[in-house]
Amino acid sequence: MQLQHPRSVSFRLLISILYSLSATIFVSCGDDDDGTTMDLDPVEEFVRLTVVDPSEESLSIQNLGTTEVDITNFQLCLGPGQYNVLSNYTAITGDLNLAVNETVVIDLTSGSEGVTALPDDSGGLGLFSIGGEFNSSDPEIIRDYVQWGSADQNRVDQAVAAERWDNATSFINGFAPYTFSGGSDDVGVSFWNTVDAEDVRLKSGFIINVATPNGDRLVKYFSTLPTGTADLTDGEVFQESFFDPEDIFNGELYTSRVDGSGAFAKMGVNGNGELVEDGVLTLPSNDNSFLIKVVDETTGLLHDRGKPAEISVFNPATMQIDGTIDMSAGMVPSTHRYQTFVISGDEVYAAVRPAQGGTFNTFIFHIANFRTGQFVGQTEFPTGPTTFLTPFGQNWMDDAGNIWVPNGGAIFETNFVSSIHRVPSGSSQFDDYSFVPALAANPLNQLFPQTGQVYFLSNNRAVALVITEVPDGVIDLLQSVGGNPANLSQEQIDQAINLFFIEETGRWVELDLEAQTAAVITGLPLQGGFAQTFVAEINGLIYLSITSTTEDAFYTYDINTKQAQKAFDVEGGSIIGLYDLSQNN
Amino acid sequence: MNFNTAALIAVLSFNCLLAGAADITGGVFDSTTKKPLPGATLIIVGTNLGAVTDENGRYAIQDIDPGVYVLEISSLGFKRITREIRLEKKTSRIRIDFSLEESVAELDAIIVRGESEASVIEQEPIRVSAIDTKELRIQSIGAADVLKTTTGVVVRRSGGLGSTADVQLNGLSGQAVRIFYDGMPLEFLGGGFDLTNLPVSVIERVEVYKGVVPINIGTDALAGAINIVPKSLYTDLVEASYQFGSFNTHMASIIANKKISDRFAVSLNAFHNFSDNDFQMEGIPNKTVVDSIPDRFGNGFQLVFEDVPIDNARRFNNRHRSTFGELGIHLRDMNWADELSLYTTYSTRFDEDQHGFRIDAVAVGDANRSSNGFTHRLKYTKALFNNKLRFKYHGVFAHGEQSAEDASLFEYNWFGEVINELDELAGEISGSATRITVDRLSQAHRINTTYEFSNNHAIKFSNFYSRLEIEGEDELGLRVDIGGELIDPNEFPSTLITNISGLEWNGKWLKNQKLNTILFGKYYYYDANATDVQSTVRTDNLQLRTVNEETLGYGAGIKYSFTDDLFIRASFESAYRLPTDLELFGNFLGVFPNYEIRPEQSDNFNVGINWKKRCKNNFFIKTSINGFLINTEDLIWAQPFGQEGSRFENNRDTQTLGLEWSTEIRPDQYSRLVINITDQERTYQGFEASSQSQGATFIGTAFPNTPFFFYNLQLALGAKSLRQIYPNIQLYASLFHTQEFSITDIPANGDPLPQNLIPTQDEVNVGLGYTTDNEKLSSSVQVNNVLNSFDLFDNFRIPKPNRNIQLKITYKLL
Repeated sequence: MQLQHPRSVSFRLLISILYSLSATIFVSCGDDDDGTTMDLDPVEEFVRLTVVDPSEESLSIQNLGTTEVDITNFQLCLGPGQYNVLSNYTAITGDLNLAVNETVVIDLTSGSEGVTALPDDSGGLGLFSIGGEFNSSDPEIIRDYVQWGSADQNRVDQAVAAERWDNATSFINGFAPYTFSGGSDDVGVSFWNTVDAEDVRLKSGFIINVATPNGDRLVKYFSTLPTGTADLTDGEVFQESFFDPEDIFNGELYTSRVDGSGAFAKMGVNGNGELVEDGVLTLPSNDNSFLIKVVDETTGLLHDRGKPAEISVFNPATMQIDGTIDMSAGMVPSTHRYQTFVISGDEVYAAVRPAQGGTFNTFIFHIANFRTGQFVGQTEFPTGPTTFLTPFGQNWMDDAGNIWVPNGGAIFETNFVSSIHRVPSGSSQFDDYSFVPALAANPLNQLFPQTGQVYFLSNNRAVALVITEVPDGVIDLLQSVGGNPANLSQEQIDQAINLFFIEETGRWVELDLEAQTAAVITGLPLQGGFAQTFVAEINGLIYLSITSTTEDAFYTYDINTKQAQKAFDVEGGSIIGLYDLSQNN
Repeated sequence: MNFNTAALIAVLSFNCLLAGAADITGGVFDSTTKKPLPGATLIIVGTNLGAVTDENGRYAIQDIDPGVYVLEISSLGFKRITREIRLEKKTSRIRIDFSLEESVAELDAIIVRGESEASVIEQEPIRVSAIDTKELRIQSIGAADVLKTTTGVVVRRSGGLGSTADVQLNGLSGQAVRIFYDGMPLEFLGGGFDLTNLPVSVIERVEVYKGVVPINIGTDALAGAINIVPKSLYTDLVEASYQFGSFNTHMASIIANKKISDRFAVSLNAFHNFSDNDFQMEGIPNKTVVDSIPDRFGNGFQLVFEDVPIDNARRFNNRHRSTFGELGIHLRDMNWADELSLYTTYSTRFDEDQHGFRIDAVAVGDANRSSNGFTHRLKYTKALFNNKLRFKYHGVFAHGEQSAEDASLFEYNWFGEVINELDELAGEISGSATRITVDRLSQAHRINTTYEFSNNHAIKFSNFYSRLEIEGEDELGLRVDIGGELIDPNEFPSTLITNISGLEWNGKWLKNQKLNTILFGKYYYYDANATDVQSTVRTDNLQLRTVNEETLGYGAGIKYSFTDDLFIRASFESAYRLPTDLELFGNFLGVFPNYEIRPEQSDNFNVGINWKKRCKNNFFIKTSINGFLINTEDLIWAQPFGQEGSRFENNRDTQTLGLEWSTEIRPDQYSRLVINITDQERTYQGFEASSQSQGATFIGTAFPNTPFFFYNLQLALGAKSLRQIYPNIQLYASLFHTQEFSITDIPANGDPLPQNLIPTQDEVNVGLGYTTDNEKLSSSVQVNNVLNSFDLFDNFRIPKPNRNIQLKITYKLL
């Protein structure tokens, strides 16, 4: 259907001049009562929105007419106070002078104000011509319109009056991007297509996984953070340890492949909230590997246990290894592999550990430049026998660039002490920093000052699960030998270790890394000192997991107010993780 | 299907019930000593009617139509006799006693007819299935195949002859099921043979004790016990068999026995197996180079790999080779011994490993295992005080060596091609290279004593003692730093001593001993000694660790016989399963020790009804329905422990509830149909306090990797009409059906993912057997997986062999 434009060209010219002046001084999109209307160039009516994508904050505009059209001064408007002229945006492809059938793709985030993003849930977007006076309430200047998510969006009445939309109550219901399938005369929801839920990849929401009694992983997607109880009893079950994400980037979780085949997979969440394997990286060797880290859109790092003296560089988009870094120049006490990567600029700090069981007596970082593919050096700190604590994500480095190393000790060897060490910002070498959180939290716990997990925050702060309680049975053992731990027999030491493990001895504490103090976070229950724990920062709050005999839950902790409270219970198994799809770790 | 089967049985039973019949009862005695002869065989010539005397020498043959018959009576070491018997129409029951004279040779006496030993065992008050292999001996099968033809048993293997087998009994598996060879736990017999490589030719029968295990068999089994009873002869016999077939499979066995005198015999029992096991598999992911792309640092090209599914994967590192030889010397009827047998066994085996627990895109091409060892056994029996006191001893000394090599410089695809060369040796299955040899020195002694106060009451005492010493060496494995010296922790010896004593009272009550009761108690004790490696590392001094524990179990059984053909029984046992050395001491490879671990405990309840009927026209039907409930507490289970690693803990309870139905129908003496159906459910019931919250929502849900509905049909067809034309031919077929089940936990409100499901499976095997008139030569051809289904799986979706053919020839020289 073509719109009728009875007004004269001279009148349109006059109105255009006046409108340009007014638009320059005060754009009137927000003033619904702006009065006058004017004739427009008939060719402009064939300029159509053809793709609207709230998930990518982009849209496509195509000239479906038979004459070239310059849309430089067209306006986008989401409603009162939300508008901007197209010339303020960057074109991803094409330009604003549209030849016949030509399309321009606009990056909305490039606009400095007005329409810089499209609402994910619902919205109405109008495309206005400024062939004359711009008045968003004027049906005559609406060139095209689309509303999604729900009815009666801003400007839909004008769009319907101008026959640029079919009905105020009709809207696109489905997953973006929304694509126009009609011709130049077609308007309304029936000419807009959505993406099948299976083809959608959600970029926001949360994944929670728990361990079932058999050790399988039970996984479920939540579009928003749960309240009350996160019920995973209808989640997806993967085999044991085959869904433990190592990293998140651009909404994709990077993990060992869920069929246990020894490859890595990147897994997205489709529109139905189901996990979908979007790519597989098959390692050259057959050794199961668990260390993978995405740096940016085109660069990721992984370690293949079958190639201990290498770091592999891969492209996350293609999931193909396209480079290897020879790390054989690095010093190792014996056969080794890498446990975790810390990304610092263009360099990766790779933490060295024994290839199989046992420990090294020193902590070693091998350092390489992953842009040039060169080994650049190493640093080490004499810790004594150590296993180190590696939480999910890129957490060993804080905002200031300090790299913190949580040394877990080695309880079955000689080292019962967990400590924290540091490679300070601006240096590539360890300094002499050493801090024992459990002793700071409870100076009386000399026997077993162990830390279960440390999560580093900004401003030299961290939260940690440390053993703060000494079980009564251990106290009895100590009293039986005169209070001197040195008098304990090996069997008594084993009994004490067992008690520390099976009883609820651990608490979350907040650490001041600079002052080397530890403050118990009040409001959180005790849990096992070596319970599987998880920490996440979401919306300015710290989410701390609790796995105890009475509950599986996440609590929030506000580092500013020092307040902690339960966020939600988790039902279905013991907590493994909480992953925010919108964050790149 | 269930309805149709029931209807068929009902119709056949009705036909059977129309016939009237008489019974013959009595006893068989030694003509010289006047002692009763247990195990004597009585058959009515020309029929399949017959009986075997019980331990008091008594017998009963039922449902004999009026007419004139020849009754043949035989017993090992005694002359066979025949007697004509005339049964008038009005005769309902006659009693005849027989006396047998000692004989020099009595070959046919070993052929059990009528009421076999297996059938006698099945009538115990406790729930037990016994599979007589006599009718299976011409088939191309092994012990594991025999085992899975009974109810409630699932045998899952990792592929082909000799491959690792996991036996699941009433929903429980692993250490909960104990396997015995001739009453002795397999782990004390050198390691060269097990369920997977024992040919049927050397087996007399397989006894399956479900739930409740009698004191003379059991050690510390929870779910039950499986006893493989080898052929034991006291006559002249040489029987050889040779089987060959697909996948270059060859199995040869020989049983030879020479009776030197009435009191002295020698025997040989041997087999040799070989198979390439190179069967084909479909849908296997295969690591494949699909592209090469430029290196981003300018160092040439990087190969791009993908796991490409292929339908022609062939197992190429899957050979099995095993040899077993056992020499026996047998004395009997000595003043100081009724029977004394000495056995010396040598066994050796070699197995290649094609994959780990699961199949992935890279084939294992070099890993292998081997074992060999000598075993010496002594069996002694003596009856005193007019046979009222019977004493049995069975002892074994074994020295075995087990090796495993998992170290390779290569990686292989599923075409057997090298796709990657490594810089250093790596483990193909385990996380790191290993080349371990373990020396196992073991001994076990079992004493069974029975004293009969009267014909109706007896008391039994049993004691089982075992000692296992293990010492090893892994030339590629972990080294621990003790005082600056790097030590292989496998070099530290460990010992495990177990002692289980049992006291049992058997009672027979009411007229005709209609009521049988068993009451028993068991005393469990174990003592484990090992080097506490972690403490040794801490102190730089050798730290020994001893763990011991004792506990009591008990049980009871009751059986009531309404008639000789119909009885009900119920039994209960509170049983324990003791921790293994791995569960106690760990393995230096991520499994930490737990010196506080407790034995697993289970309460087993069983109830069942058995009915059989034999008719004038040789029609025979036998059916039984059994229910069981097993509550298992303190299940030993590996849990994550420490920053990494795992530890075995007692942290969950389960319940298994099941119903079994078994029916055997013999329309005539040549044909047989056996149907075994099992419907069971194993569920989580609780978790220990420290893990209470972790699994609370799973209470009541299915325990993973446990089939819940399965049945098998065994058909041997030699119908009368067929036999008249082809008198020496038998057709046989079997069907094994297993309903779909999940290998992972299933959440309370969820469904298992498709990739975690083992689909419904139907395995069909058929065969054709031929036996000469004198029964000296028999042969068979058997087609396994005749439907050539590629959807048959063993453990964790490992494909079973595709269609294959096996030929077997058995020849009796004497």
